[in-house]
Amino acid sequence: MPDRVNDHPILGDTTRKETVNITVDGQKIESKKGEMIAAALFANGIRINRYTIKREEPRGIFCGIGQCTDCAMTVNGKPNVRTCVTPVEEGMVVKTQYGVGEREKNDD
Amino acid sequence: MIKREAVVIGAGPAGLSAAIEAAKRDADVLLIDESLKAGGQLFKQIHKFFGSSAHRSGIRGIDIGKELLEEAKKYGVEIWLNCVATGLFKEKKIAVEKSLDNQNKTAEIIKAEKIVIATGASENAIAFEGWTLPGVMGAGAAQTMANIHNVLPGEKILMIGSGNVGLIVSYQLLQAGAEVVGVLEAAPEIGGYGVHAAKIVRAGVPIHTSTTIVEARGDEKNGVKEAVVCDVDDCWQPIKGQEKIYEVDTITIAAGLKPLMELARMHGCRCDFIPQLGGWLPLHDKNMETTYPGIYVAGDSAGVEEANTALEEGRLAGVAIAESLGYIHSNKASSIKNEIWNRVDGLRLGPFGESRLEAKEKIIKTFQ
Amino acid sequence: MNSYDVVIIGGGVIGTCTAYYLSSKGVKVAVVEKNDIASGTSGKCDGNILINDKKPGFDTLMAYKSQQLFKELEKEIEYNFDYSQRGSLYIIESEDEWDVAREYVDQQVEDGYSMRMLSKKEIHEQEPYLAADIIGGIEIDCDAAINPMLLAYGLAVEAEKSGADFYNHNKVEDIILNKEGSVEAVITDKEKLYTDNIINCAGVWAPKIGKMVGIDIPIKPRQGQILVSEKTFPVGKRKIVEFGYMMAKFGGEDYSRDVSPELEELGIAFVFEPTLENNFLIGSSRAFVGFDTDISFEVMRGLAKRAVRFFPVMENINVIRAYAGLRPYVPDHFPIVSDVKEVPGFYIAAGHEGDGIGLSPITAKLITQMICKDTLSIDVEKLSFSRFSNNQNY
Repeated sequence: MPDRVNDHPILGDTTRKETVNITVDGQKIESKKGEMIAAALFANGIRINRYTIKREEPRGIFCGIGQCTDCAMTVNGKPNVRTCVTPVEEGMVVKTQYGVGEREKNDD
Repeated sequence: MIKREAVVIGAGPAGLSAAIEAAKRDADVLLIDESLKAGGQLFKQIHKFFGSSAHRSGIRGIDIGKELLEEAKKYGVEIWLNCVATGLFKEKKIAVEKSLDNQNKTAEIIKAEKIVIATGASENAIAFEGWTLPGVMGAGAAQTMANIHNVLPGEKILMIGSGNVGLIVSYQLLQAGAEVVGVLEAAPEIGGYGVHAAKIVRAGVPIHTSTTIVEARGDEKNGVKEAVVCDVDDCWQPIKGQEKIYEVDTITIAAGLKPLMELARMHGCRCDFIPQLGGWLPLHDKNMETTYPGIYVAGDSAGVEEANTALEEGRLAGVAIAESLGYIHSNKASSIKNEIWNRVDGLRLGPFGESRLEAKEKIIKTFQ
Repeated sequence: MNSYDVVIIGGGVIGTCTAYYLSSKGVKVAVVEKNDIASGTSGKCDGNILINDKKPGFDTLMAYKSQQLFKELEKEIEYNFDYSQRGSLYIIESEDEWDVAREYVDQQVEDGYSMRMLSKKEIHEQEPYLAADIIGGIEIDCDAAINPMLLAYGLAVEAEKSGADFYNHNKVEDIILNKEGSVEAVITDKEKLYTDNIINCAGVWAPKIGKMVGIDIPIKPRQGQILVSEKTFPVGKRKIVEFGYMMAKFGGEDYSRDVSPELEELGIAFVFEPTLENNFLIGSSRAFVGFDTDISFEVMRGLAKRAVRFFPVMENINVIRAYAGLRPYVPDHFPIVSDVKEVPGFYIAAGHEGDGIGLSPITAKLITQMICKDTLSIDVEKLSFSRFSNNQNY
């Protein structure tokens, strides 16, 4: 499966050292500080972000720059988060979004 | 309501250079961008740019990006990142959402005397059976993953489209360590520059002309596993029985770009469909001003061309704004703009450039 | 030569529904529309089929009759127009409102409509996301919703099946009267259509058509803006309206809500409509700004603020679109469904303000009955055009 690019002929050493721990569908994953959620998932072999509401079809990264919303997932209880433009944070809880996703209730 | 002399929307090459040129001449400039980092698509352009020395040929996009950010800082351009322009309301009021990714998200209205729309372009998709499977993505998306996030978008990749984006991204995917099994081109000839094509052919990537993709196959758990491709006839229709199957995990689409012109349209700036420049775009004059006085457009959102052209168009808009705000005498402005116009003409040479030049000239003519 | 029994001007829900009823009775109909089906107000509104925003008496009766017709239409029309009868809910903020609401419900129940007051406990059990301070509500069973664009298309398709002709992208430029002053032909920028009967279903543009036959139709465009949410969980189960909506709608009553002057000035009252696609619509605003259909940020913000006041959970739900439409306002809040004595053969079916979708079937039915000289479903005196010439206070 896809991997990180650590040694690049133009960009040189692109190794990102600082790590951030996130949970994806209950599984702990190591990601790199500052990277987007979708990139962390790709580096860990995950490229399905959500399943559509009507036909329950899988969707993954399509535009990569926050325009198409195909990579939306439920992040920290909030659905429809564009994972290609949202950076990882320590302890982040990411879930594959099924349809409109599950939303955590507010206190009110 | 916040007030500013000039607000530039989009911090790519066009927006940055517009902001710099205006701020350099003492205009009070606010530059906003939805990303966490300014530079637009420049930071994924790890290749050297073409053109004469005036166009910084031989310099990589990433380095131009760094230079522009420094200049913007030097001239005091105020930059709001992580801030999206959600609408352009009557009389040049810009609605923005600030701090998108955290709890401090707020909505503001900025009243601007001058606005530059430099929102860039979005990739065109093409629809074929299975095109929504994970693993089918825009060439720009694959480029972002490899060059910005330093993550390989796939291991075995098929590129659809042999324009410059298709060719350059194919090469960059090779540089990042992926295998590119081939580049498909539905037209009978390669779309992009020969230099770019030669580079990937030398690296062993075949370019198949008169060939198209008909289906992406895979499953719901893993996404793309195979690509079914087919030769096309003179009418670009697949020839039955000519199907071939590639085992790939990723299919990237480089089918051109279209201007992101929603803000201009929302404000009622007159738009027209100009196929040579990517489709619907706001009409503008030689100063990059749209049909609504004080609203300018630059870069791909004014018609899809190259990053160099975007830089020049941004400069034009920046100088024109400084001029109309009274920060620069019109004689001085004319001579600066003349230099830029000459350089822009220089960028619109060759068979591709000429059709763009023609289209741009027609826009400016109909505008008058 | 193009000749029709009836030419309908306007391809919104009123025009297409009238075309449907008339053509199904064998009347030869043409619909002339300057843009496309549902391109005007019917494409820029919400999809209410309500009695809850009607005054007791005639107003409610007309809306109720229309609701019954919708039930028939849902069976008759092949096209699915997202009909759903989920009822509606009024939310009550204050004791003052409670008293007015009580009176309203007593009256409506006496008239035979199925509705009841909900206590604080009941309303919060039924709508768990509602703001905690809401003191009660009114539950109305018969209220429903549809998708107006799908409805107009569905009606147009059925009308075409029965032989109606649609002249879309035809702008009416003139109306020809004969020597006796009766209707003779409609002239568009592309066609000349001969007919003895014209029905003006042009909504906010009805006065322009009226001028062509020398009459003044007192309809003014009143702008309303609507927010559309992303697809999300069911925040509310049905149509939900703040009780103050009635006050904002009719105005001038001896009643004021506890809202900021800004919201009051923008005419904002909370209206919530869940769609079958899991989005929801948020209204409502009212403003006289001519034919301007640009949205404004101030109204968008006001709508959102008011919505969050009633449903705090909405603070974290994204708005994906906003749009503005023009409601055909008539000073006395009754539509004009009428013949025109001064111009034989000329009819008007317009001026429904925010009720056009809900009242489209009853309006179309009445006009059809007038043209076919059948017995009328309800007494139409209050809807007559002549009410404006009799110097009445409207």
